[in-house]
Amino acid sequence: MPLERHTPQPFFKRPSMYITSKIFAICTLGFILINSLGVFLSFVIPGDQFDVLVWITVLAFLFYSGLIMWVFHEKSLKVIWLSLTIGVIFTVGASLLMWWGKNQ
Amino acid sequence: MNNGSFRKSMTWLHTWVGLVFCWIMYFMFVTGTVGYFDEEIDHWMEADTLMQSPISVEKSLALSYEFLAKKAPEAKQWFLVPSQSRNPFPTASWRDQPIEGSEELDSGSKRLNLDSAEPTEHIVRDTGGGQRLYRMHYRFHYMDRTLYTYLSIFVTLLMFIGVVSGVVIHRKIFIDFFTFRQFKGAKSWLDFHNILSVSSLPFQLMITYSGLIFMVTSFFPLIAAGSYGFDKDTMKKELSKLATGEVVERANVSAKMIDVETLTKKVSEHTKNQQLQNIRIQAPNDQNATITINTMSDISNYSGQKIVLNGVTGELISSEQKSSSSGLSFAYVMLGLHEGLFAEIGLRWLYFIAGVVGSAMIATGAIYYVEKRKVKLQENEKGKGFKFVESMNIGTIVGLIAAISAYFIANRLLPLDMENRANWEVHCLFLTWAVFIIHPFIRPIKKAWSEQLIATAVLLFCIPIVNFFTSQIHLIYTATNGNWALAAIDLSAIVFGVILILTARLYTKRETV
Repeated sequence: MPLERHTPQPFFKRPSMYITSKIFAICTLGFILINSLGVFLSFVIPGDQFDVLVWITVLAFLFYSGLIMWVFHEKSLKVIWLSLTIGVIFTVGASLLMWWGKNQ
Repeated sequence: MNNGSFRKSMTWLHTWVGLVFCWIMYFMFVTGTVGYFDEEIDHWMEADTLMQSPISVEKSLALSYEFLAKKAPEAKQWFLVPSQSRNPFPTASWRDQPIEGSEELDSGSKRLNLDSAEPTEHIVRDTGGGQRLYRMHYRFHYMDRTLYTYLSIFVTLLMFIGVVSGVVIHRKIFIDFFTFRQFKGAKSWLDFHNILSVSSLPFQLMITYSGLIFMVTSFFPLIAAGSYGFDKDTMKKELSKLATGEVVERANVSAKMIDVETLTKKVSEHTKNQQLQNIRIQAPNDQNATITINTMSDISNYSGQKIVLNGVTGELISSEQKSSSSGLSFAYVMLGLHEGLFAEIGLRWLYFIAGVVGSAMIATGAIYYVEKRKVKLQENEKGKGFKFVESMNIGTIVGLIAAISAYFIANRLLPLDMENRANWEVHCLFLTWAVFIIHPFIRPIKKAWSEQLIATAVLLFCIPIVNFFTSQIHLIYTATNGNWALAAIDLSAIVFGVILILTARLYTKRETV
């Protein structure tokens, strides 16, 4: 027991780093994901572009709040970072493709 | 933090989001709540006359139009706000009037007297009034625009998450609502927190989410930019639907504007049963002059109609709804609900009470955190962090009320000819608050609570007393003249003072049980 107590934990496994990693994930990839998801949805949802855009922007805080709650619920940092990265790659890639297709 | 249950992880989130930002949330809630009576506080702080009845739209426009024609004939823009029930003085504003012999431009805003035939400026003492107090709930003070914008977005977002996670963690929301365990330490504070939260839940959800909508374009500008392919021209064109309309430049060819009789005729013709919000005149006395008449809907001053007339001929140029899409209508209704400008006196009090309940919800949540740990921790286990939270709770929860009282008292006691008088009113607020924040750090906690409660009650009682000796619009005068809008401010101070005295007594009783 004493040995275990005095053995320093690896830097990224410290509780404070665990929380910091989650906060950092929300502020960086989480924020980018909400923006790129918004752009993607504005291309996908049919209807007047301005109206769709206003709805998405108005509801963006709802998505972001949901995402923050999910990040703080999910135990695994790997799942969090991986999901956010895949989400960003997918939404940015799909938006670029749709934008390119629209302008051809 | 998380043992797999969503409810438990949300409990963790609710606790920490609430704890870390509770003092800023409390500040935003308290100042925002007081702001529902901003116009009434303005009148109280101006301390010159009783609340007056509004004058007709025709007379309002005539006064403002004539005032601006003399004051700023070559301005880029005029802005006319008619007399309204809560603010009877018509307001005339101008922007970018060239100053003779200088390259600088003059802009300003004046309120006009009601009872003179000629338009004259309504001159009052230099005061921040209710407006400055109300603006503090999102601008704070001593901060630069970017900082306060992002700080208020951040804290409001966390407040919203706090409210939603608070709903998630209550499995038995109705049982919790009807439970109150008196004198049970932390349990009593939790029950109190639950009762306050559940009873005002719809208000808390509405006020936090609509608060976020105010700042949505600042926080998520990339969504709009990305969906228009970062094309500046398309964006500018599309997003102009959100703004007040096209900007009109002067042609620098002078022309005679339509006279005020024709203007008032046109206004009544185009507004019909709608309420006039304001009139914007671009390029006045110029060939390009336009007059934009803005009306407001029953619930939101953002909705309504926008009627554009030629300023020289009076011909109709366009007439359209300000909310051109369902999304905008939703956003405008939310913004209207947040500001509550449509609310008559009864509903306005309901807004105020909901705000007080919201502030008390934050306060009881913060106290519950301390009380819960007090039971768990031995005296020697209470570290500096615990002491800091405990002291900050007292200094913020009670100290902020004391600070606002000091703001009102400073308004009456500071010399009228003092330089930067309005700023010094605010400095008095923050200086008082600083004293109340430092006090619990140097006093035993138990004594600090009762001392601050009593000191704040004394400050609250001082408001009507100082008002009686220093102004004409004291409680006896306003009450006997039936001017309840002003009397309510003195009476509220007395009521809150009594509540604080009772709380201090209850606290002392609890400590001796």
